[in-house]
Amino acid sequence: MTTSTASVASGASLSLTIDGQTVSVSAGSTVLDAILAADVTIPHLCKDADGPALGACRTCLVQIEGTRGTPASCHTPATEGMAVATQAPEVVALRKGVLELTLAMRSVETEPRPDSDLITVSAAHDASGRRWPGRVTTHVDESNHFYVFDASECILCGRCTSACNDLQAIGAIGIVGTGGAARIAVFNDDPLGESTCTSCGSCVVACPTQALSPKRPSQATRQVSTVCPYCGVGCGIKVGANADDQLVSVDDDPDNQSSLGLLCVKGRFGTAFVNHSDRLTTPLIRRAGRLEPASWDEALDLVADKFVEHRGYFGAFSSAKATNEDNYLIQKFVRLLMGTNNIDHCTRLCHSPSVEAMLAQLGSGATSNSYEDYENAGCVFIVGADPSSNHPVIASRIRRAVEEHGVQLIVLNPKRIQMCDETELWLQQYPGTDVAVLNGMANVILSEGLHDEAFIATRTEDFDSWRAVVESYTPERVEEMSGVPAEMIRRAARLYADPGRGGSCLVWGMGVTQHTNGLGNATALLNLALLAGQLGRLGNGVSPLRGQNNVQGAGDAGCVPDALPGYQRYTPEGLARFERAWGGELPTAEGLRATDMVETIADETIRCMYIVGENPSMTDPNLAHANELIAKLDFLVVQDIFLHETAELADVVLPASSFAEKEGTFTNSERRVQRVRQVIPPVGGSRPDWEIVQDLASRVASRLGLDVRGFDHGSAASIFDEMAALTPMLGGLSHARLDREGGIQWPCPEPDHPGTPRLYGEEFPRGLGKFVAVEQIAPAQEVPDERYPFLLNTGRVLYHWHSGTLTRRVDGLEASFPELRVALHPIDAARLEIADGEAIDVASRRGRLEGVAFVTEDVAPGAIFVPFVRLKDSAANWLTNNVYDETSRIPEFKVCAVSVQRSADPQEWRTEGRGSSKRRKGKQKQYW
Amino acid sequence: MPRLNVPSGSVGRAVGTLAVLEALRESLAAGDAGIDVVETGSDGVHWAAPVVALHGQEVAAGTAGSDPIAVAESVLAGNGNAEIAEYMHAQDRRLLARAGRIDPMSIDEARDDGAYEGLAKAQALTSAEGMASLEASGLRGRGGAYFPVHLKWQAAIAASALNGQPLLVVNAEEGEPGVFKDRVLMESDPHRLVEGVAIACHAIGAEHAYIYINGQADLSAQHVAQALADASAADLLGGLVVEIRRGAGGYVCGEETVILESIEGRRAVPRLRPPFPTERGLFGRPTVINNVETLANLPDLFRHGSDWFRAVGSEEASGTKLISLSGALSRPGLIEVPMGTTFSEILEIGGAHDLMGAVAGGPSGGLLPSSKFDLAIAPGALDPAGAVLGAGGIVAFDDAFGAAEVLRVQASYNAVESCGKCTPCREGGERLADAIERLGAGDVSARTDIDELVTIMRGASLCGLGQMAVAPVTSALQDFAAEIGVPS
Repeated sequence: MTTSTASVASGASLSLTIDGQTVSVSAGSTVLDAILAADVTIPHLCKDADGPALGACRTCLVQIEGTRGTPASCHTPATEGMAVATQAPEVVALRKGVLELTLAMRSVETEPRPDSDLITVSAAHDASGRRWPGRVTTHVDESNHFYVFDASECILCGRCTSACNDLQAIGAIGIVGTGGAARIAVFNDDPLGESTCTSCGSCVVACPTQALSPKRPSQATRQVSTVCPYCGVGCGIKVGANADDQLVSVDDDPDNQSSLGLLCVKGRFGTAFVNHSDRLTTPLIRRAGRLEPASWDEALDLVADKFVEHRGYFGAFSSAKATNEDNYLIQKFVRLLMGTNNIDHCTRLCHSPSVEAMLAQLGSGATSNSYEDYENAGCVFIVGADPSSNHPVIASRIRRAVEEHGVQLIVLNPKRIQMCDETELWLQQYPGTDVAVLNGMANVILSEGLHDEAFIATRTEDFDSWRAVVESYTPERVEEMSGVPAEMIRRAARLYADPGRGGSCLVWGMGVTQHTNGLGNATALLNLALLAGQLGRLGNGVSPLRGQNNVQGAGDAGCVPDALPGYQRYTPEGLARFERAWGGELPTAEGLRATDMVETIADETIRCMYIVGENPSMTDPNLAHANELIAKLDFLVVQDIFLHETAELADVVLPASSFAEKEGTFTNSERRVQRVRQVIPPVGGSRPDWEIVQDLASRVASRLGLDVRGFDHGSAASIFDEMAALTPMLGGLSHARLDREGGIQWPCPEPDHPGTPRLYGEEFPRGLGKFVAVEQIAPAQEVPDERYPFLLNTGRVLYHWHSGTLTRRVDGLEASFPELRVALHPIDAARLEIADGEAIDVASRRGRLEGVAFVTEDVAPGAIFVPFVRLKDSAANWLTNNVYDETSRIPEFKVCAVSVQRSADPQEWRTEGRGSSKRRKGKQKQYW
Repeated sequence: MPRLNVPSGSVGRAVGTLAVLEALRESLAAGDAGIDVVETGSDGVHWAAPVVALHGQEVAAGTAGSDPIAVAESVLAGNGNAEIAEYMHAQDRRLLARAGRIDPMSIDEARDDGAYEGLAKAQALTSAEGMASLEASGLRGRGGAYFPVHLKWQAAIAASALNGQPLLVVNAEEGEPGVFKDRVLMESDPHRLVEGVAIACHAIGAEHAYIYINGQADLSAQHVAQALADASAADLLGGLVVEIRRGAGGYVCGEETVILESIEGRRAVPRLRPPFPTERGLFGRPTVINNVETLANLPDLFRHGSDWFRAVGSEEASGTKLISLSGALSRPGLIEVPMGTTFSEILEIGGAHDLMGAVAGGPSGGLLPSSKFDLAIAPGALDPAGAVLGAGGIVAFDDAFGAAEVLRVQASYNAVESCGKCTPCREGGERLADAIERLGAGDVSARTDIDELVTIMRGASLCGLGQMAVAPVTSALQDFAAEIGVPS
């Protein structure tokens, strides 16, 4: 995507001359590429280094020997032997003429930005802004919370619209009008803030003038390449900091192979939390009921004493937001010194059924393919996921796959998601009936003979016993069970099994897993992939989209109760290897899962907990119940960057450093291990998690009189080396190699192994892929009744992250989604006489919340949706049900029964000038 | 049973042919005489409409005027209108052979007149034979660029190995003021277009074609849709899928790459070339974009052979050309003449008297003074100062209107119709129109601005529309300098 440079190794190269100077460029380069490679300066106002040629500004004109006229170099292919002249007087005069027409579009009275490309190149051409009377459009749009559009600075180059339409495939802005009336505008001439804009900021970066500029200007004095701390996509970011060690800017990283220069609003504008005044800067110890500042020594000694005292009743949550190195040391500490496998992390609440199913049926619990497979697919089947809200850069890549490559989408989701805009095949099932729909699709594939017989014969087992079960799931029967028309099931099945081009990718999220039948849902999905042979080749595969920046890595590093690092089981040989390396004895019994650790506080199985970078007091189901249990702990240590709801209950709070203050690695959703780099020193008295754990481990070891090894690392790189030496799938990786080559996808067992974009080409880790029969059971544990007649579905929104601990501390994000919007169907709203924007109460058997009605047909009648972010004092998890999938122990976040009514005593939701959810006649409003 | 034709179409309906039809049907069709009264498409004789003509004897025609029954009875008695007859005889009507004579909604009438015979003959040829025949005919595109048709087709076929099966796109946008040939063809003889589409698709191996019809040309779209349905029902199209797409509005929509953007659902702005559409066009596939008139030439070319085709026209340009005549003429309308006919001959058919000049080539065509009317129509530049044949629109003007007003109209049209994508055309267009106004108002300094803008727009604009938008100015500066305010 980058403007090509001279003599690129790959592909044929060709030579041409620029003003007599010979330059060599790769085949496929443009004349402008060659000019830039020759270090010749020429204006190119509408050509973004990473964007397509637009040919609009007409300032890169040149003369080419033997060619008529003065072509624009940005869209003229370079050819062998071409002689290009950039400085001939006629063509310089022509460029000057165009620049003077361009300059007349902005007011000469306004001081230009010093780094404005337009001003720089105009000065070089001696072009005057006063050659023509100004034709300046005056219109300022400040409705976006992150940037401002000022038409008086706009030269209509089209880079912003190309970034919005071509790069991100959002289409919020475009050039409308012809001739002198042409302008950058939003549909219906609405303000940007009321458009489909996702505030990704790609337009701002693309703008060569100051027509689009950030509200918070950047004065970065240095920039560091690292990885975004939000979701599991793993976008490369270049973080800028100023002399006061404040993070002031984020740029995209076109070299990052996962994000390809794309970012979303949280990545680009969401890192201000790092310098927020609420950051924990010193350890806190509860004294007489109050958390009070303490020294590190004081705090760690107390924690060490208490941990030693509670050995045998201890459990720990590690963090999917922390690095691999942090996580590796935490689980090592828990196993080796606390003598228990009671270590888990938030994957329990998101993809544990996916991991269980993949381990059972394939033998490995990770995404099998890469994001690039979506672009190479013929069909992408998105089940129970909303990438536009939760994995926006993947959403952009999928939209581009649809628009550029003709990839066809199938969406299975009870709630309409943005991706439905890209397909006719939206299957809206009744919540909890996924197994029926997926078995129904399998039934069609079998009855129409679309299954991959060779794949089934050579790569799978237990096909016949499974087949016997799905035979009863005829499309007509499934229609009755799920509400999805039989014909839609047929069409989806045919497309998935036979996409015409490439293969089919299966992409899923929490809508699959967060059910009491979560494992069944995931199992049915994998059966479908095995049946159609959609695994192991370019353009197919299975992708559970990982939610947290390092949820893959936390599991890889061993923060799970049933496996050592690298998913190595508790076999005698495996244990012996780790015991030798670590210098101590390891527990052999499987530990408790995260949800069970909390539940077993009740019977005092767990009395003491160490919670790193997690906030169960907001993210567990049925919060009244969860908090009652957490409060019952004898001793609770929370290690985090803010004093969140769980930390408020702690006995000791340890201030950790954020992603921007430490070295390490994150592993993203496509198994790509990427370097996290320190941008600023630790804020206040905070310390990186790995340093805290080492310090704590040494104190515990000395109290126990144990002589263990490897809690004296001087760097994150050294911790990584220890982990890689014990974890075959990471064996070929090191910080030095990742620094040199960029992110690498595991398995990567040897230093010369290139990494693995795609798994299962030849065989599965367990040998044969296993069909596992699964039946549709009761859709949910709790179903609507007279008193609680609505189904509550929970999830996330673009502008907030999980419970909101981070995003509520970023002004623009909070302003973009200030209210807890309760999505409600118009039929229900009318029946209950609830107006859009009105304060409403939602209650379940377990709790209540107050939100703002958001009337939309995106949800089915009888269903409501509430994000689980806490806004004001309301959060969805006060309502959710603490019932669990039997095997994976994931809670049923996605379904519970609730009542809805107009609020009797509304909170002060609405503040002047904040985002509005008022429905406007005749236009589709944006939920996020 | 005797039959009367009332050539109608959008032009005829605008001057009351529907009322004439109703009156005639009421009094003649119902009576004992049992006269058949048929609404045909336009015959191009726009100046005489509404016309009533005796079927099969075109000379027996008359302008219906205020008493259509009397005119009809006179026509039935064999009386004719000499001026109409003269107008018809002065032409060489090949593409217009059926126009006004058949019911455009009837495939049977078209087939009785030989429609789809050319397709059958083309289908019997090998691809090489067909291409050889096309090359021998010398047919060039009729949209304005006059590119040899066989070369365009061969380019798409050559690209198909890499970029997939070719597609055909029919440019039926015709948004240019003063050009109305494609509308008449589609309204009056839609099967000629459909047959041409089928021949072209057969030749280039396309199974999918799009006809991009001007958003206001409802009758054209209606007639073409009917013709497609009837041809398909008669099993004449094989597996060919032809979709009608309607124009998005705006002059620029006639630019061929704009059509591609528009069909793909994007803003109407030109694409960058290369790649050229024949290499990577619609949906990335090799795409042949042909004008309606170009394709309408194919049925008779293949029915009668390339020698027959070459029998008219000039050595460098064979065949006939449809000319849309408007402006200061007593007989405006659509005529068909051999390539190589002079402006004088053409304007004489149109009933010219004391003209000052004519605009040839549309809004971005030059102003041709009457002193140059001995020029013959031919592909390419007719006059170095800017007049081109273009799509074949000729707008005559006299002293009363004046060259200065013509130039003002063209300049402001071009400024408004600039698609807005590239800076020189968007920013230059309005300023050029403004400078022309100033020059006309006596501000001699405007001349410097005009010269500079002409250089920038011609040299720097992205597409032909911007580059050519200066042609009216350059030609007026040469031939009508005094009229537009240049001091002598």
